[in-house]
Amino acid sequence: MGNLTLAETIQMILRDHMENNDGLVLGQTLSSIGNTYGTIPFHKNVIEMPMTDVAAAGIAVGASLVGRRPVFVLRFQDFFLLNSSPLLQDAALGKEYHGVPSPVFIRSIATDKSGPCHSNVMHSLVMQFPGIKVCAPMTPGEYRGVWDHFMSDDVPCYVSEHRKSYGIRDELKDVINDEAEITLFGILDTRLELEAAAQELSDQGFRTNIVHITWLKPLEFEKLSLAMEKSRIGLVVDSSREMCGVSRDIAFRLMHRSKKPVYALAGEDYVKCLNPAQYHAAPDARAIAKYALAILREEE
Amino acid sequence: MATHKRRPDYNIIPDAISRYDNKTRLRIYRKIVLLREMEKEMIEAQRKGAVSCQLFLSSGQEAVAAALSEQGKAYQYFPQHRADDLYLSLGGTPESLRDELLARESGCSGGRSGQIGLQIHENGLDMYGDNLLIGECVPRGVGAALGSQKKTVCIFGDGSAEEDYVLASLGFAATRQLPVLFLCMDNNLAILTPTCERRSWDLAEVAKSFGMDAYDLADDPWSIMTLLDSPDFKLPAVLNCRVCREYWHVGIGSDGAREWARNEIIRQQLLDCGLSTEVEQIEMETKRRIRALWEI
Repeated sequence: MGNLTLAETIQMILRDHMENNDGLVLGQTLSSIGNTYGTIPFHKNVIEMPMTDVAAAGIAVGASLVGRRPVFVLRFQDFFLLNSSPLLQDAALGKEYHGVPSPVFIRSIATDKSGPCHSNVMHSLVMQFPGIKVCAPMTPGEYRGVWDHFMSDDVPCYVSEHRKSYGIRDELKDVINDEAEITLFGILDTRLELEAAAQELSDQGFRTNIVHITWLKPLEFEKLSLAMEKSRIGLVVDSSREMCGVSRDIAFRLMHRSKKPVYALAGEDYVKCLNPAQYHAAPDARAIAKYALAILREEE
Repeated sequence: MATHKRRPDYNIIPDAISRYDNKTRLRIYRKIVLLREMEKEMIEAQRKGAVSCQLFLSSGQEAVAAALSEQGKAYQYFPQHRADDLYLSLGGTPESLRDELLARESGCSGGRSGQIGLQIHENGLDMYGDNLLIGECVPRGVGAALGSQKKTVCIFGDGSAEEDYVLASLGFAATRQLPVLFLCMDNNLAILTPTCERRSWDLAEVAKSFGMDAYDLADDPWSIMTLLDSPDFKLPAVLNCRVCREYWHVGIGSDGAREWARNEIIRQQLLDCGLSTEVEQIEMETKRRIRALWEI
């Protein structure tokens, strides 16, 4: 596994699922764009769905009821707004409401700088609903862990993926030093910016820790809390919207636990336009460092 | 919508009851009486405050469920929220239904879902509970058919038929030739809005355009049973059944006389078959049993 990219890892997982579990993979235009960025194997159990969003999600839910553990692929996370009803109001409540589990593995692929209806990240919204787990793996090892969890579980799982992750081969390691000035907690693609942001902060004289978050719901809270014990300030960074989003939620919880200031930096409350000046993209290393410097100085 | 389709003999098979023996005739009638007596007591329990959940009553359409239930384990069932008729006809116990309405753990959904989530998962029979998003049982049922290749029936109303995901599910089932029966309980109303004010198209005709067989007929159980048992009947298919419900979309109110009363038609048919003693016995026994059930 160590030499595989994330895309190759996903393809291997899905092939194994279809061959050994009689699993299903459903989605629209799966064979296009390089078999969905190289993540979809050729297999008879890959079902090309018609361009019908709500029904397709409902069909995936139905397949889950009869034990096929379907993988449902969303080419853009934005489309979850269309797909969400069967997934959140059927699959997610099935176990608690009817005692009938409906395990669907929802691969929801994010990108950025693609306009108002193709650039949004939905995991914060999904977290609002009971009965569904939410995660954002970026590496082969994380993805394998998420998959193993799903297969040992019986509830649907929303997997927030990002196009930037598919070429990743190596694991993203936490950086934990004692007596850090600030800890950067990253989610999804913002994690790829943390190292550069930390370097810039170090260059400014601030010792900086890095913590990668994979599971959002349930949250790896104890791990985050332990990291905060070694830091004066925290900053949670995410590419979904900050308002009512997971970044603020985590910051709020960490602040209560640690009694230290924890901030959030995530998507702004603007439409993501196609004009580069108004992309309103996810925070990059420069934006993270700039914001971190501001709060470090404010807290001094 | 053409009013000539709203009549009790619309497209039915003449004298289809003659194809069935007395045992079958009386079994169907027993299911009809059971549902009607149960709902009478449910209404009374709600009036008294014992039942607080919303009631979506089936009286008036129960003959279709009774006919469908004769298929037993041959199908997996995906009804909508209005499903006490099918639940009882398939053998779900009145006790479990009562307990579900009373929010007891011994209810068929653990007392969590009230009437909308009635379900059976035992003895090889699967009737899946609904969540009250109208028509969403249809794509779910289609997915279950895709996943299991087992014969599946999705039950919905003429209003639900207009949901985009229902039509898309029909198209998917037609494309994949899935073994799905789409059963529309057509009372010509979406709450109180008539079909003719909502759409210009006809579900059976749309289904045919998808390349599947479609049938449109009144709720005569003998015709429905004959159709479903016919060697020529193949899936996927749409069965649009014209029904007349007695009560409102939700709740225990009623707007007066129905266009026809299928239960009374069937009762008369049985009397004409010389089954008056058996009919009266079924009515008396069922009434007594269900009344006792609700003495709580």
